[in-house]
Amino acid sequence: MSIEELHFRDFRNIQEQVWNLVPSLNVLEGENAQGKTNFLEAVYFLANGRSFRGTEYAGLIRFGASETQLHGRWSHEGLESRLDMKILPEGREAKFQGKAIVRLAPVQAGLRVLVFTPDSSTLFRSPPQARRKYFDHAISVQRPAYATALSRYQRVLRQRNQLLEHGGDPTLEAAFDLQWAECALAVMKERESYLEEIRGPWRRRFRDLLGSEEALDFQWRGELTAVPNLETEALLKALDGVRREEKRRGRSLLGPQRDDLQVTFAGHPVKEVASQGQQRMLVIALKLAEADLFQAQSGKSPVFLLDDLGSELDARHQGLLLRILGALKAQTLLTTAQ
Amino acid sequence: MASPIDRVVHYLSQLPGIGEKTATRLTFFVLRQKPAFAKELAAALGDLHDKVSLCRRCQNLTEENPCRLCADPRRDPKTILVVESPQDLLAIERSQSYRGLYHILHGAISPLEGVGPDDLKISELLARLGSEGIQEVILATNPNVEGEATALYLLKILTPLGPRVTRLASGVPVGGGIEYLDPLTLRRALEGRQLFHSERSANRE
Ligand SMILES: [Zn+2]
Repeated sequence: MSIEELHFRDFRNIQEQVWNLVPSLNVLEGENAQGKTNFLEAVYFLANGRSFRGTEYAGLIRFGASETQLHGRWSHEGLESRLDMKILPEGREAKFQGKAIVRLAPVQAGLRVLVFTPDSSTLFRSPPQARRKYFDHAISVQRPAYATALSRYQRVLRQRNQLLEHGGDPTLEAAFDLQWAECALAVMKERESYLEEIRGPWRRRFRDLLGSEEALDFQWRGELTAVPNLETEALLKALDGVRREEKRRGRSLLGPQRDDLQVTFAGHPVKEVASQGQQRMLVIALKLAEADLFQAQSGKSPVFLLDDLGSELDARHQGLLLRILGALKAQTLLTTAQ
Repeated sequence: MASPIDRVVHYLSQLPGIGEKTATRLTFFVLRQKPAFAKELAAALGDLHDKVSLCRRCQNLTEENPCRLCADPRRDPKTILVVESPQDLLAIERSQSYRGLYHILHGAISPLEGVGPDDLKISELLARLGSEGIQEVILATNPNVEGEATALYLLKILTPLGPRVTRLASGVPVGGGIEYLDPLTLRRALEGRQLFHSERSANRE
């Protein structure tokens, strides 16, 4: 699978750009680092419906323009796909194969775009919220059902918080508690099963990059993750334990919205024991593992966006990464300062 | 005072799903028709509140009271199917798969929108259980968070009153892909599964 043509209009500082890409390595050279990152961000937006820099829609539209237009054409084994996207201050509109779609799941089933930028390296040093956001997105694109479960859980959480804040009748509270428990369980189980799936590939890719495994392990950590054979009843029981405090504080105090993915080397948290270089490799290994899952599921290779790789990796590791991507047959868009 | 065109656009654009652009287009459409069209439309709109009211039994919108459905002697008076809106009732009627009575809540419980049990036609439903000898209540609220909360709430307050309370099996939507279903919906669909030929064998009994 590879992107053949891109056409961007009014994205950030891009007025209009048309690109024809080759299926293997595409190198963007130039002085303007910002412009190159903007280009990668537009490619990422097409496939993910969001910015990898966390920018709101309005911030992506070129100053003075009322909307952004992104068009992409890609093909797999001779079959062409086309996506036309509009970014408006209040939202985005997408047409896939000429038909309007709301969720991008049908696009992501065939086009997976993964990005590594100098900012990506900090994933395991960042606050838990950043990791949750990262994995919520990664799991959603790999498993559309997770996106459904997560958005339902978030809706329950908002309703329940409102009720806790203003007080409600106990029968009504029980109705939202039960839904909270069912939806929390669905989110937690799906996260757990994703971790099971990616654990092997993630370790293998880390070994490919660094030549050592460092007794690498991954776990979801939170108040409820340690409960064995977690079921709805156990969640409701845990809720009983914090009910008073929840009422006092007027919001939910338990659930997967507080969990974190912890990575350890020989039992020690990675941010304490791993060098910056190891942490960087850990993130690259994660992205390669995501690529492995996508390939196993769809039989297609993903597209990799590598921003300013030279600032992050020495020449030996750059070469190694590009060889791995070559073996994956992953189309690569690389920006470089020279 | 604003011009007649501006006034019509102003009111039309308050309708759900209609922006100012569409409202303007609709207004010019009406202007292009014969004057009788606008007069008939205005008269029909004016009649809405004068002639349509809520059925005192099922709370459906009706011109007669009780409504045509509540008054129909061929319908099973011992079963009530509870829906959120008149549109939901119409959808079920169109399917021709239900022959009992209805009750319309006119909404679903949503703390975020400030809608609690007292804002719905729940006390009217409780009154019917007392007076009509209802044997089964089928909860057919929407399968979203708010509809589910409403169903759970009703289940708790109706069950002690005696009737059998059932929930519409919320399963795999016809034409929807199983891959997009969240695990919860999928589990419910599995729990609510039925024998493939259950209807036919039931008919043979
Ligand atoms: Zn009626």
